[in-house]
Amino acid sequence: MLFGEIVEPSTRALIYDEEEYPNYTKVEPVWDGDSTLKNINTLLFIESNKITTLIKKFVIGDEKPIKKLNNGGLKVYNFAGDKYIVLVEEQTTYCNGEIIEILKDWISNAKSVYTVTSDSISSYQNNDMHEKPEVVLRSLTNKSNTLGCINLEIPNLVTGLGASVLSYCKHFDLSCELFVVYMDNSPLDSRNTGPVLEMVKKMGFSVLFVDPKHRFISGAKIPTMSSNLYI
Amino acid sequence: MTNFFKSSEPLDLNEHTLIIPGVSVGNVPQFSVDLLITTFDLKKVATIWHPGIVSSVGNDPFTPDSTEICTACELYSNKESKISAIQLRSTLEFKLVKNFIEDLKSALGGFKLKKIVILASGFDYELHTVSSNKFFYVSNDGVDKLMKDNGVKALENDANEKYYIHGDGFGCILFSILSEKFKTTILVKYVSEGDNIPDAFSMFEKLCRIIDLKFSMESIQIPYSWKNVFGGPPPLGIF
Repeated sequence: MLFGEIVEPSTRALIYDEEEYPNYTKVEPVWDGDSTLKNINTLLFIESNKITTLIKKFVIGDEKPIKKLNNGGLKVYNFAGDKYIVLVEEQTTYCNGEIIEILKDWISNAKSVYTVTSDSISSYQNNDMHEKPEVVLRSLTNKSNTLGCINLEIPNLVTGLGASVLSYCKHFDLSCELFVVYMDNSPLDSRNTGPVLEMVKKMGFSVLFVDPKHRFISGAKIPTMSSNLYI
Repeated sequence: MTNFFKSSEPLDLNEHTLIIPGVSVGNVPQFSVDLLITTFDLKKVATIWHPGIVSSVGNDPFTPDSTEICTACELYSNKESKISAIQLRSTLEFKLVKNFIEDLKSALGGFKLKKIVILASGFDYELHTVSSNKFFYVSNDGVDKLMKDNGVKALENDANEKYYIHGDGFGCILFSILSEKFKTTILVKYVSEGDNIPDAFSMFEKLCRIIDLKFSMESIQIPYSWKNVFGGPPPLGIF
Protein backbone atom coordinates (compact mmCIF):
# COMPACT_ATOMS: atom_id res chain seq x y z
CA MET A 1 0.00 0.00 0.00
CA LEU A 2 1.31 3.42 -0.93
CA PHE A 3 1.11 6.51 1.27
CA GLY A 4 -2.07 8.36 0.39
CA GLU A 5 -3.58 5.43 -1.46
CA ILE A 6 -7.33 5.14 -1.01
CA VAL A 7 -8.29 1.68 0.16
CA GLU A 8 -11.98 0.97 -0.29
CA PRO A 9 -13.48 -1.35 2.32
CA SER A 10 -14.68 -4.76 1.21
CA THR A 11 -17.61 -6.82 2.41
CA ARG A 12 -18.18 -10.38 3.58
CA ALA A 13 -21.40 -10.47 1.53
CA LEU A 14 -21.07 -12.46 -1.69
CA ILE A 15 -21.60 -9.58 -4.08
CA TYR A 16 -20.48 -8.95 -7.66
CA ASP A 17 -21.35 -5.26 -7.73
CA GLU A 18 -21.53 -5.04 -11.51
CA GLU A 19 -23.58 -2.49 -13.39
CA GLU A 20 -24.36 -4.98 -16.18
CA TYR A 21 -25.07 -8.68 -15.93
CA PRO A 22 -24.64 -10.94 -18.99
CA ASN A 23 -27.42 -12.78 -20.79
CA TYR A 24 -27.17 -16.50 -20.12
CA THR A 25 -25.73 -18.72 -22.83
CA LYS A 26 -26.21 -22.43 -22.31
CA VAL A 27 -23.17 -24.63 -22.91
CA GLU A 28 -24.03 -28.09 -24.25
CA PRO A 29 -22.41 -30.95 -22.30
CA VAL A 30 -19.72 -32.95 -24.09
CA TRP A 31 -19.85 -36.58 -22.95
CA ASP A 32 -17.33 -39.32 -23.50
CA GLY A 33 -19.94 -41.94 -24.44
CA ASP A 34 -23.68 -41.39 -24.12
CA SER A 35 -25.23 -39.60 -21.17
CA THR A 36 -27.66 -42.26 -19.99
CA LEU A 37 -27.31 -44.39 -16.86
CA LYS A 38 -29.68 -47.31 -16.44
CA ASN A 39 -30.70 -49.30 -13.38
CA ILE A 40 -29.30 -46.95 -10.71
CA ASN A 41 -29.56 -48.34 -7.22
CA THR A 42 -26.98 -46.16 -5.46
CA LEU A 43 -25.63 -42.85 -6.75
CA LEU A 44 -22.76 -41.43 -4.71
CA PHE A 45 -21.37 -37.93 -5.40
CA ILE A 46 -17.82 -37.35 -4.17
CA GLU A 47 -16.24 -33.89 -4.01
CA SER A 48 -13.39 -32.01 -2.26
CA ASN A 49 -9.71 -32.93 -2.64
CA LYS A 50 -9.36 -35.01 0.50
CA ILE A 51 -12.43 -37.17 -0.02
CA THR A 52 -11.65 -37.58 -3.74
CA THR A 53 -8.12 -38.77 -2.92
CA LEU A 54 -9.45 -41.18 -0.33
CA ILE A 55 -12.17 -42.66 -2.52
CA LYS A 56 -9.85 -42.98 -5.52
CA LYS A 57 -7.36 -44.97 -3.45
CA PHE A 58 -9.62 -47.08 -1.25
CA VAL A 59 -12.76 -47.61 -3.34
CA ILE A 60 -12.10 -46.93 -7.03
CA GLY A 61 -8.57 -48.34 -7.24
CA ASP A 62 -7.78 -49.33 -10.83
CA GLU A 63 -11.37 -49.08 -12.11
CA LYS A 64 -11.79 -47.05 -15.29
CA PRO A 65 -14.59 -44.48 -15.57
CA ILE A 66 -17.56 -45.61 -17.65
CA LYS A 67 -18.50 -42.03 -18.54
CA LYS A 68 -16.82 -38.64 -18.52
CA LEU A 69 -18.28 -35.19 -18.85
CA ASN A 70 -15.33 -33.76 -20.75
CA ASN A 71 -16.24 -30.10 -20.31
CA GLY A 72 -17.55 -30.52 -16.78
CA GLY A 73 -14.86 -32.33 -14.75
CA LEU A 74 -17.07 -35.31 -13.90
CA LYS A 75 -16.11 -38.99 -13.99
CA VAL A 76 -18.57 -41.82 -13.39
CA TYR A 77 -17.54 -45.26 -12.10
CA ASN A 78 -19.74 -48.36 -11.94
CA PHE A 79 -19.63 -51.01 -9.20
CA ALA A 80 -21.62 -54.24 -8.89
CA GLY A 81 -23.80 -53.32 -11.84
CA ASP A 82 -26.12 -50.82 -10.16
CA LYS A 83 -23.92 -48.70 -7.89
CA TYR A 84 -22.31 -45.55 -9.28
CA ILE A 85 -19.77 -43.07 -8.01
CA VAL A 86 -19.71 -39.59 -9.56
CA LEU A 87 -16.34 -37.99 -8.92
CA VAL A 88 -16.32 -34.20 -9.09
CA GLU A 89 -13.00 -32.67 -10.01
CA GLU A 90 -12.04 -29.05 -10.56
CA GLN A 91 -14.17 -27.54 -13.29
CA THR A 92 -15.03 -24.06 -14.42
CA THR A 93 -17.41 -24.51 -17.37
CA TYR A 94 -20.51 -25.21 -15.33
CA CYS A 95 -21.76 -23.99 -12.00
CA ASN A 96 -23.20 -26.58 -9.61
CA GLY A 97 -26.80 -25.75 -10.53
CA GLU A 98 -26.06 -26.40 -14.20
CA ILE A 99 -24.42 -29.76 -13.33
CA ILE A 100 -27.60 -30.74 -11.48
CA GLU A 101 -29.70 -29.80 -14.51
CA ILE A 102 -27.45 -32.05 -16.64
CA LEU A 103 -27.65 -34.98 -14.19
CA LYS A 104 -31.25 -34.58 -13.00
CA ASP A 105 -32.48 -37.74 -14.75
CA TRP A 106 -29.90 -39.83 -12.90
CA ILE A 107 -30.83 -38.26 -9.56
CA SER A 108 -34.54 -38.78 -10.17
CA ASN A 109 -34.09 -42.43 -11.18
CA ALA A 110 -31.69 -43.48 -8.40
CA LYS A 111 -33.09 -45.44 -5.45
CA SER A 112 -30.52 -43.98 -3.03
CA VAL A 113 -28.61 -40.73 -3.51
CA TYR A 114 -25.63 -39.90 -1.26
CA THR A 115 -23.13 -37.07 -1.38
CA VAL A 116 -19.87 -36.76 0.56
CA THR A 117 -17.81 -33.62 0.95
CA SER A 118 -15.25 -32.29 3.42
CA ASP A 119 -14.31 -29.04 5.06
CA SER A 120 -11.70 -27.78 7.49
CA ILE A 121 -12.31 -28.59 11.16
CA SER A 122 -11.80 -24.89 11.95
CA SER A 123 -14.97 -24.02 10.06
CA TYR A 124 -17.07 -26.40 12.15
CA GLN A 125 -19.08 -24.56 14.81
CA ASN A 126 -20.39 -26.19 17.96
CA ASN A 127 -21.18 -24.26 21.14
CA ASP A 128 -20.71 -27.33 23.32
CA MET A 129 -17.33 -28.26 21.89
CA HIS A 130 -14.31 -26.32 23.19
CA GLU A 131 -11.75 -28.83 21.93
CA LYS A 132 -12.42 -30.20 18.47
CA PRO A 133 -11.52 -33.82 17.61
CA GLU A 134 -9.46 -34.73 14.54
CA VAL A 135 -12.50 -35.74 12.53
CA VAL A 136 -16.15 -34.78 12.81
CA LEU A 137 -18.63 -36.58 10.57
CA ARG A 138 -22.12 -35.10 10.26
CA SER A 139 -25.07 -35.61 7.95
CA LEU A 140 -28.08 -33.79 6.54
CA THR A 141 -31.03 -35.50 4.96
CA ASN A 142 -34.46 -34.56 3.70
CA LYS A 143 -35.95 -38.01 4.41
CA SER A 144 -34.67 -40.70 6.78
CA ASN A 145 -31.19 -40.93 8.23
CA THR A 146 -30.36 -44.46 7.06
CA LEU A 147 -26.72 -44.64 8.16
CA GLY A 148 -27.24 -43.38 11.73
CA CYS A 149 -24.91 -40.38 11.45
CA ILE A 150 -25.37 -37.37 13.78
CA ASN A 151 -27.23 -34.40 12.26
CA LEU A 152 -25.24 -31.30 11.39
CA GLU A 153 -25.88 -28.66 14.03
CA ILE A 154 -27.06 -25.07 13.52
CA PRO A 155 -25.47 -22.75 12.32
CA ASN A 156 -23.16 -24.89 10.13
CA LEU A 157 -23.90 -24.76 6.42
CA VAL A 158 -22.65 -26.97 3.60
CA THR A 159 -22.04 -25.62 0.10
CA GLY A 160 -20.85 -27.14 -3.18
CA LEU A 161 -22.29 -29.76 -5.50
CA GLY A 162 -23.44 -31.95 -2.60
CA ALA A 163 -25.54 -29.06 -1.29
CA SER A 164 -27.00 -28.59 -4.77
CA VAL A 165 -27.91 -32.29 -4.99
CA LEU A 166 -29.63 -32.21 -1.59
CA SER A 167 -31.42 -28.92 -2.41
CA TYR A 168 -32.66 -30.37 -5.70
CA CYS A 169 -33.88 -33.56 -3.95
CA LYS A 170 -35.61 -31.52 -1.23
CA HIS A 171 -37.36 -29.40 -3.85
CA PHE A 172 -38.56 -32.36 -5.91
CA ASP A 173 -39.30 -34.61 -2.91
CA LEU A 174 -36.58 -37.16 -3.70
CA SER A 175 -34.53 -38.89 -1.03
CA CYS A 176 -30.91 -37.79 -0.44
CA GLU A 177 -28.34 -37.98 2.35
CA LEU A 178 -25.40 -35.59 2.53
CA PHE A 179 -22.30 -36.30 4.63
CA VAL A 180 -19.74 -33.70 5.54
CA VAL A 181 -16.39 -34.64 7.03
CA TYR A 182 -14.63 -31.91 9.01
CA MET A 183 -10.90 -32.67 9.16
CA ASP A 184 -7.75 -30.85 10.19
CA ASN A 185 -4.86 -30.43 7.80
CA SER A 186 -2.92 -33.49 8.93
CA PRO A 187 -2.13 -36.18 6.31
CA LEU A 188 -4.71 -38.88 5.66
CA ASP A 189 -4.20 -41.80 8.02
CA SER A 190 -6.19 -44.66 9.52
CA ARG A 191 -7.62 -42.43 12.26
CA ASN A 192 -9.05 -39.71 10.09
CA THR A 193 -10.07 -41.90 7.15
CA GLY A 194 -11.68 -44.71 9.20
CA PRO A 195 -15.11 -43.07 9.74
CA VAL A 196 -15.41 -42.15 6.05
CA LEU A 197 -14.54 -45.62 4.81
CA GLU A 198 -16.95 -47.20 7.31
CA MET A 199 -19.70 -44.98 5.96
CA VAL A 200 -18.90 -45.86 2.33
CA LYS A 201 -19.04 -49.56 3.28
CA LYS A 202 -22.50 -49.04 4.78
CA MET A 203 -23.60 -47.56 1.44
CA GLY A 204 -22.78 -50.92 -0.16
CA PHE A 205 -19.38 -50.17 -1.73
CA SER A 206 -16.38 -52.44 -1.16
CA VAL A 207 -13.29 -50.93 0.38
CA LEU A 208 -10.04 -52.14 -1.15
CA PHE A 209 -7.16 -53.68 0.77
CA VAL A 210 -4.30 -51.24 1.14
CA ASP A 211 -0.68 -52.30 1.08
CA PRO A 212 0.61 -51.29 4.55
CA LYS A 213 3.99 -50.44 3.01
CA HIS A 214 2.43 -47.38 1.42
CA ARG A 215 1.17 -44.29 3.14
CA PHE A 216 -0.31 -41.12 1.74
CA ILE A 217 0.41 -37.50 2.30
CA SER A 218 -1.91 -35.06 0.56
CA GLY A 219 -2.51 -37.48 -2.28
CA ALA A 220 1.17 -38.23 -3.00
CA LYS A 221 2.26 -41.84 -2.65
CA ILE A 222 5.35 -42.14 -0.46
CA PRO A 223 6.80 -45.63 0.08
CA THR A 224 7.76 -46.31 3.68
CA MET A 225 11.26 -47.53 4.55
CA SER A 226 11.79 -51.23 5.16
CA SER A 227 13.41 -50.38 8.49
CA ASN A 228 13.37 -47.38 10.79
CA LEU A 229 17.10 -47.47 11.48
CA TYR A 230 17.78 -44.00 10.07
CA ILE A 231 14.57 -42.20 11.17
CA MET B 1 -38.94 -22.07 -15.69
CA THR B 2 -41.53 -24.50 -14.31
CA ASN B 3 -41.37 -25.71 -10.72
CA PHE B 4 -39.67 -22.54 -9.51
CA PHE B 5 -41.71 -22.70 -6.29
CA LYS B 6 -42.61 -26.06 -4.78
CA SER B 7 -44.96 -26.35 -1.84
CA SER B 8 -46.93 -29.11 -0.17
CA GLU B 9 -50.14 -27.01 -0.30
CA PRO B 10 -51.36 -24.70 -3.07
CA LEU B 11 -49.59 -21.34 -2.79
CA ASP B 12 -51.75 -18.30 -2.23
CA LEU B 13 -49.86 -15.01 -2.46
CA ASN B 14 -52.78 -12.93 -3.73
CA GLU B 15 -52.80 -9.42 -2.20
CA HIS B 16 -49.56 -10.25 -0.36
CA THR B 17 -46.68 -7.83 0.06
CA LEU B 18 -43.52 -9.71 -0.94
CA ILE B 19 -40.18 -8.80 0.63
CA ILE B 20 -37.02 -9.80 -1.26
CA PRO B 21 -33.55 -9.21 0.22
CA GLY B 22 -30.61 -8.37 -1.99
CA VAL B 23 -27.21 -9.80 -1.11
CA SER B 24 -25.34 -6.66 -0.20
CA VAL B 25 -22.97 -4.93 2.23
CA GLY B 26 -23.02 -6.46 5.71
CA ASN B 27 -25.82 -8.87 4.70
CA VAL B 28 -28.18 -6.28 6.23
CA PRO B 29 -31.20 -7.13 4.01
CA GLN B 30 -30.90 -10.86 4.81
CA PHE B 31 -30.63 -10.13 8.57
CA SER B 32 -33.72 -7.90 8.30
CA VAL B 33 -35.70 -10.67 6.61
CA ASP B 34 -34.60 -13.04 9.42
CA LEU B 35 -36.12 -10.58 11.92
CA LEU B 36 -39.30 -10.30 9.85
CA ILE B 37 -39.68 -14.11 9.75
CA THR B 38 -39.22 -14.60 13.49
CA THR B 39 -41.10 -11.52 14.72
CA PHE B 40 -44.18 -11.97 12.54
CA ASP B 41 -44.08 -15.77 12.63
CA LEU B 42 -43.79 -16.30 8.90
CA LYS B 43 -43.95 -20.01 8.04
CA LYS B 44 -41.92 -21.74 5.37
CA VAL B 45 -44.41 -22.40 2.57
CA ALA B 46 -42.22 -23.30 -0.41
CA THR B 47 -38.73 -24.18 -1.51
CA ILE B 48 -37.20 -22.47 -4.53
CA TRP B 49 -35.00 -24.25 -7.06
CA HIS B 50 -33.07 -22.55 -9.83
CA PRO B 51 -29.63 -23.48 -11.22
CA GLY B 52 -28.53 -19.88 -10.61
CA ILE B 53 -28.81 -20.17 -6.83
CA VAL B 54 -25.49 -20.96 -5.14
CA SER B 55 -26.68 -23.85 -2.98
CA SER B 56 -26.17 -24.10 0.75
CA VAL B 57 -27.90 -26.47 3.15
CA GLY B 58 -28.11 -26.67 6.91
CA ASN B 59 -30.59 -27.32 9.66
CA ASP B 60 -33.55 -25.00 10.22
CA PRO B 61 -31.96 -21.77 11.54
CA PHE B 62 -35.12 -20.72 13.39
CA THR B 63 -35.78 -23.92 15.38
CA PRO B 64 -33.21 -25.51 17.68
CA ASP B 65 -32.93 -29.33 17.46
CA SER B 66 -34.98 -29.38 14.26
CA THR B 67 -34.25 -32.10 11.72
CA GLU B 68 -35.93 -30.13 8.94
CA ILE B 69 -33.27 -28.90 6.52
CA CYS B 70 -33.18 -25.43 5.06
CA THR B 71 -31.89 -24.62 1.61
CA ALA B 72 -30.37 -21.45 0.15
CA CYS B 73 -33.61 -19.93 -1.08
CA GLU B 74 -37.04 -20.39 0.48
CA LEU B 75 -40.39 -18.65 0.59
CA TYR B 76 -41.94 -17.70 3.94
CA SER B 77 -45.47 -16.40 4.41
CA ASN B 78 -48.08 -15.30 6.94
CA LYS B 79 -51.65 -15.66 5.70
CA GLU B 80 -53.24 -13.33 8.26
CA SER B 81 -50.96 -10.34 7.80
CA LYS B 82 -50.55 -11.11 4.05
CA ILE B 83 -46.79 -10.72 4.24
CA SER B 84 -44.43 -13.04 2.37
CA ALA B 85 -40.66 -13.03 2.16
CA ILE B 86 -38.06 -14.81 0.08
CA GLN B 87 -35.00 -15.57 2.18
CA LEU B 88 -31.77 -15.97 0.22
CA ARG B 89 -28.97 -17.43 2.35
CA SER B 90 -26.19 -17.50 -0.23
CA THR B 91 -26.00 -15.62 -3.52
CA LEU B 92 -26.60 -16.08 -7.24
CA GLU B 93 -24.21 -17.31 -9.92
CA PHE B 94 -22.99 -14.25 -11.85
CA LYS B 95 -23.85 -15.65 -15.30
CA LEU B 96 -27.35 -16.67 -14.18
CA VAL B 97 -28.40 -13.52 -12.25
CA LYS B 98 -30.56 -12.12 -15.08
CA ASN B 99 -31.94 -15.57 -15.87
CA PHE B 100 -32.92 -16.11 -12.22
CA ILE B 101 -34.66 -12.74 -11.95
CA GLU B 102 -36.55 -13.24 -15.22
CA ASP B 103 -37.69 -16.69 -14.01
CA LEU B 104 -38.68 -15.21 -10.65
CA LYS B 105 -40.71 -12.55 -12.44
CA SER B 106 -42.57 -15.10 -14.51
CA ALA B 107 -43.13 -17.42 -11.49
CA LEU B 108 -44.57 -14.50 -9.48
CA GLY B 109 -46.72 -13.53 -12.45
CA GLY B 110 -49.19 -16.26 -11.45
CA PHE B 111 -50.09 -14.37 -8.26
CA LYS B 112 -51.87 -11.06 -7.78
CA LEU B 113 -49.24 -9.56 -5.51
CA LYS B 114 -50.09 -6.28 -3.81
CA LYS B 115 -46.51 -5.03 -4.10
CA ILE B 116 -42.86 -6.02 -3.84
CA VAL B 117 -40.32 -4.42 -1.52
CA ILE B 118 -36.65 -5.13 -2.26
CA LEU B 119 -34.17 -4.52 0.55
CA ALA B 120 -30.62 -3.46 -0.26
CA SER B 121 -27.59 -1.90 1.40
CA GLY B 122 -24.68 0.09 0.01
CA PHE B 123 -21.25 1.28 1.15
CA ASP B 124 -21.79 4.42 3.20
CA TYR B 125 -18.45 5.97 2.22
CA GLU B 126 -20.19 6.62 -1.10
CA LEU B 127 -22.45 9.19 0.52
CA HIS B 128 -21.39 12.79 -0.07
CA THR B 129 -23.34 14.16 2.85
CA VAL B 130 -22.81 12.49 6.19
CA SER B 131 -26.00 12.52 8.19
CA SER B 132 -27.85 10.22 10.53
CA ASN B 133 -30.44 9.42 7.88
CA LYS B 134 -29.02 6.87 5.50
CA PHE B 135 -32.22 5.46 3.99
CA PHE B 136 -33.05 5.97 0.32
CA TYR B 137 -35.64 4.52 -2.04
CA VAL B 138 -36.66 4.08 -5.65
CA SER B 139 -40.24 3.11 -6.47
CA ASN B 140 -42.87 2.84 -9.17
CA ASP B 141 -45.60 2.59 -6.52
CA GLY B 142 -46.35 6.27 -5.85
CA VAL B 143 -45.03 6.17 -2.30
CA ASP B 144 -43.33 9.59 -2.24
CA LYS B 145 -45.40 10.99 0.61
CA LEU B 146 -45.17 7.80 2.67
CA MET B 147 -41.41 7.78 2.26
CA LYS B 148 -41.08 11.47 3.07
CA ASP B 149 -43.15 10.98 6.23
CA ASN B 150 -40.80 8.19 7.26
CA GLY B 151 -37.63 10.14 6.51
CA VAL B 152 -36.59 8.13 3.45
CA LYS B 153 -35.09 10.14 0.59
CA ALA B 154 -35.51 9.47 -3.12
CA LEU B 155 -32.36 8.08 -4.72
CA GLU B 156 -31.05 10.11 -7.63
CA ASN B 157 -30.19 8.41 -10.88
CA ASP B 158 -26.93 8.99 -12.74
CA ALA B 159 -26.29 10.79 -16.02
CA ASN B 160 -27.41 7.68 -17.96
CA GLU B 161 -30.79 7.68 -16.18
CA LYS B 162 -29.72 4.52 -14.34
CA TYR B 163 -29.64 3.80 -10.63
CA TYR B 164 -26.37 2.53 -9.21
CA ILE B 165 -25.72 1.67 -5.57
CA HIS B 166 -22.15 0.62 -4.85
CA GLY B 167 -22.29 -2.56 -2.77
CA ASP B 168 -25.91 -3.55 -3.45
CA GLY B 169 -25.05 -6.64 -5.53
CA PHE B 170 -27.95 -7.41 -7.87
CA GLY B 171 -30.46 -5.14 -6.07
CA CYS B 172 -30.79 -2.57 -8.86
CA ILE B 173 -31.23 -5.12 -11.65
CA LEU B 174 -33.76 -6.97 -9.48
CA PHE B 175 -35.68 -3.70 -9.16
CA SER B 176 -35.47 -2.83 -12.83
CA ILE B 177 -36.78 -6.25 -13.99
CA LEU B 178 -39.49 -6.76 -11.35
CA SER B 179 -40.77 -3.18 -11.66
CA GLU B 180 -41.68 -3.94 -15.31
CA LYS B 181 -44.53 -6.11 -14.01
CA PHE B 182 -45.18 -5.30 -10.34
CA LYS B 183 -45.52 -2.32 -8.04
CA THR B 184 -42.00 -2.39 -6.70
CA THR B 185 -39.99 -0.36 -4.21
CA ILE B 186 -36.32 -0.75 -3.35
CA LEU B 187 -35.36 0.39 0.14
CA VAL B 188 -31.65 1.06 0.54
CA LYS B 189 -29.62 1.69 3.65
CA TYR B 190 -26.03 2.88 3.41
CA VAL B 191 -23.96 1.02 6.00
CA SER B 192 -20.41 0.23 7.04
CA GLU B 193 -19.27 -3.37 7.12
CA GLY B 194 -18.85 -4.72 10.65
CA ASP B 195 -21.40 -5.67 13.27
CA ASN B 196 -24.45 -4.95 11.14
CA ILE B 197 -27.11 -6.18 13.55
CA PRO B 198 -28.08 -2.59 14.56
CA ASP B 199 -28.44 -1.78 10.83
CA ALA B 200 -30.71 -4.82 10.44
CA PHE B 201 -32.89 -3.59 13.33
CA SER B 202 -33.21 -0.11 11.83
CA MET B 203 -33.97 -1.51 8.36
CA PHE B 204 -36.56 -3.86 9.86
CA GLU B 205 -38.15 -0.94 11.73
CA LYS B 206 -38.24 1.21 8.59
CA LEU B 207 -39.68 -1.64 6.53
CA CYS B 208 -42.46 -2.21 9.07
CA ARG B 209 -43.41 1.46 8.93
CA ILE B 210 -43.44 1.47 5.12
CA ILE B 211 -45.60 -1.64 4.77
CA ASP B 212 -47.71 -0.70 7.80
CA LEU B 213 -46.87 -3.61 10.08
CA LYS B 214 -47.51 -2.90 13.76
CA PHE B 215 -44.78 -3.93 16.15
CA SER B 216 -42.97 -2.80 19.30
CA MET B 217 -39.23 -3.05 19.91
CA GLU B 218 -39.92 -5.50 22.76
CA SER B 219 -41.77 -7.86 20.43
CA ILE B 220 -38.81 -8.36 18.10
CA GLN B 221 -37.66 -11.97 18.16
CA ILE B 222 -33.97 -12.73 17.56
CA PRO B 223 -33.43 -15.79 15.35
CA TYR B 224 -31.79 -18.75 17.09
CA SER B 225 -29.02 -18.96 14.48
CA TRP B 226 -27.78 -15.44 15.34
CA LYS B 227 -26.09 -16.93 18.42
CA ASN B 228 -23.14 -17.81 16.20
CA VAL B 229 -22.90 -14.78 13.95
CA PHE B 230 -19.40 -14.15 15.32
CA GLY B 231 -18.34 -17.80 15.52
CA GLY B 232 -18.33 -20.41 18.25
CA PRO B 233 -16.63 -20.36 21.66
CA PRO B 234 -12.83 -19.88 21.75
CA PRO B 235 -10.67 -23.02 22.10
CA LEU B 236 -9.53 -23.63 25.70
CA GLY B 237 -5.93 -23.88 24.52
CA ILE B 238 -5.62 -20.11 24.09
CA PHE B 239 -6.05 -19.50 27.86
